[in-house]
Amino acid sequence: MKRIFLLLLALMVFPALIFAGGKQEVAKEEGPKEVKIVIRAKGNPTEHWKVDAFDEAVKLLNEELQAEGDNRTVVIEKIFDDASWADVVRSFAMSADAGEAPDIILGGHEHIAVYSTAGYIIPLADSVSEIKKMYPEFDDVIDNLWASCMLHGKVWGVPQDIEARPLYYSIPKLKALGWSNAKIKALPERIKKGEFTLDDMIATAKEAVAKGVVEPGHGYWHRPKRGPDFYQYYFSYGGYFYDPDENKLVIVEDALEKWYAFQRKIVDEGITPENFIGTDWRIWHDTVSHGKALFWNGGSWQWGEWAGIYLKDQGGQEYLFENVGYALQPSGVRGKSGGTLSHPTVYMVTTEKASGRKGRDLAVRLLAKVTTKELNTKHAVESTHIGILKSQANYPPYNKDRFLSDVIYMLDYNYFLPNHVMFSTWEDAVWEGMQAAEIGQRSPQDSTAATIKLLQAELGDALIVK
Amino acid sequence: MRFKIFFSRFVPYLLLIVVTLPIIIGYVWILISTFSTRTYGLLPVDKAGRPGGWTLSNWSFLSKPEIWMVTSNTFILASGLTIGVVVVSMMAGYALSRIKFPGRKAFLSLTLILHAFPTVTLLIAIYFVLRWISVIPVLGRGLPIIGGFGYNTLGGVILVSLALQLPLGIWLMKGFFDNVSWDMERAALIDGCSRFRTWREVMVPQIRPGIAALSIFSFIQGWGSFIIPYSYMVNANRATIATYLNNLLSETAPTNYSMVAAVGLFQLLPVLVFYIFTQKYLLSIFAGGVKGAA
Repeated sequence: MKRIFLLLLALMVFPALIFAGGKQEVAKEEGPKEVKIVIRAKGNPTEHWKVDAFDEAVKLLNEELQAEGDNRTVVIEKIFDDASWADVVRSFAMSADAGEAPDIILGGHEHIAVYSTAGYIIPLADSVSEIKKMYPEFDDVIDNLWASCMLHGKVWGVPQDIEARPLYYSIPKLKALGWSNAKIKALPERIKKGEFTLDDMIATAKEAVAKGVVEPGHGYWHRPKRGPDFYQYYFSYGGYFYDPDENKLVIVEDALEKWYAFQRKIVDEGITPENFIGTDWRIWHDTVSHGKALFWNGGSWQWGEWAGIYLKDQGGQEYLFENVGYALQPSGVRGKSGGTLSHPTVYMVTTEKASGRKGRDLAVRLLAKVTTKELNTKHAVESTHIGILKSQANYPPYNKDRFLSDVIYMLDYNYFLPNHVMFSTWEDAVWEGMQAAEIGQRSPQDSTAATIKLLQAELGDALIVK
Repeated sequence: MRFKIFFSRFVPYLLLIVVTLPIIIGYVWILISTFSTRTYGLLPVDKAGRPGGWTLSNWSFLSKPEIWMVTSNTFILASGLTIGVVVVSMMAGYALSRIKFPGRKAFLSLTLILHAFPTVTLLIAIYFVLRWISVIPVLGRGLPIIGGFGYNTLGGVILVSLALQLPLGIWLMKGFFDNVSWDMERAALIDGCSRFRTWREVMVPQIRPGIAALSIFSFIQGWGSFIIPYSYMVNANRATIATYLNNLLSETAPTNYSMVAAVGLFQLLPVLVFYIFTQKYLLSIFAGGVKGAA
């Protein structure tokens, strides 16, 4: 018995000692006839085309391969869920370190910095002009979107979607406040020209609360949970994130203080509830979509969620067009045009080491097949994301969508987050300071000082304080 | 006198009913909710809030292949965990109960310390171990059904769950073996039985209630397992029923709680049935081993 036991033990331990620490086995040099490509994306149910578009794309790719006499056939596996970004990044990093990552990962463009530094993703081209020449589909991508995919002069991703973060307003509430139809209609243009600022918005919302047009605390609702939407206020007051010449993150002290003061002011003026941060998304969506708030900031993609989920029984988009208006985020400085933060999501291709598979060329080629007006429009229309292709502007299934056509001008006033590896540290610090200012834990001035001190301690030379 | 009988017979039941009522109402709500569009308290209502709104749509997930895949995964995980925990605990428990060897006390103490560690604190360390196992040929990623014992395999999840479940199992089994009379064991050894045969043919039959209890306990643990498959499987939402359930709770989109309740009930049913028929064994965890044993 003892001998059998020892023999079994030796059989188990021996290969472990011999092979432990060895290289991950990848596909044989000959190349398998069937190449598996795993795609992972995150999104809410209306964004399922982020992965489902690949069903059609892979058919097109396989037809092309067959026509070329290539003996490879691509099969895909799709992973789609609505986990938090933090969970997605954690799970992806663990799988990439273990050589089990998907071949194509969809992420925010700012993930490029972290993933490329860690060696998880490959550069797709050495320049924008090079990637445009690779496949005609890439030449159709709106030119300024490539900026969000760049790092150290190389292209690391392919844009999948983009959005605007408009200021929404309730049309019936503005009417109840005495605004004429013409005045309401002119609001987006006034915001665009910098004639209606954040201060004007606060004053209007305060008036609505005072006159009982909306309930106290329902004059203005920002996003209820952490997210990049808040940086729009920082930008509105003249702040910016990044100095590309120095490759350093930037914090503009004056803009930061004005942003924090804004967060406190909306509570002090009674247009946003006390302790609003952390409100459940369901409550937030339900309140704003049913026009119970006067102004609110949201994403263009949320229009689709409200129409398809919250207002499905009231008429969906028809109801929304009658009751809700949208404009750029107002500037904090009179005379300065409004703007919007765009956060393109991008497809990235993982390295052979991270995925444990070969066939990177096919993964890139598959991305070209999915970057078409036909497939991208399905996603854009269903999830109300703005198109990423030049050809979509004249593509009837896209341009007959009234909302998407209406908001596309906002891309002329947009800006992006920086692709900097330490940006999440910057975000952690400013978020902490913003919360402290809004809930009244610290004054905006103290919060600004504390945030800058924390940023300097955490980022050191990677930060420029203006 | 009558009052006294009434008091002693019925009052405890009344008290128990009152105390358990919230739990019973919870179960009733789950059941009603799974067949309703929405609920207002325990009343099913339609989208407009009128009474009615009965539907089978919340059970539509049963027609999707994913649910059967995750159910099968969950069953394999729970069964693998049960077999592993019971076999290793029986052997380790016996050794710790009956054999004197250097480091026995230290081993017992360390086992207890391991049990005190919250799983979440070990996740990263265990991840590195699984990565190391992954590169071992065959054992890492080349086994049928469970895939292997490395990262992103069902076997890896079983292995980790097993390691974390073992301290409890070993201590339980040791407790049961401690209660078995030495006389029987000595008689077997004097009659020429080997130590292994004594363990297998004399000792193990004496602790059957304990084995049954540990099996049930381990199976239930494996069936509801979430954090380990969620952390170590790449496509976590297709790993087990618990991770599948988690995926129904969207971060931003509204959640269909009636469907969540239906999947929850689907997950709960086997455990409930299992528990109803085996609770007497489960309770023996707290009762000890052989009756009348020294």
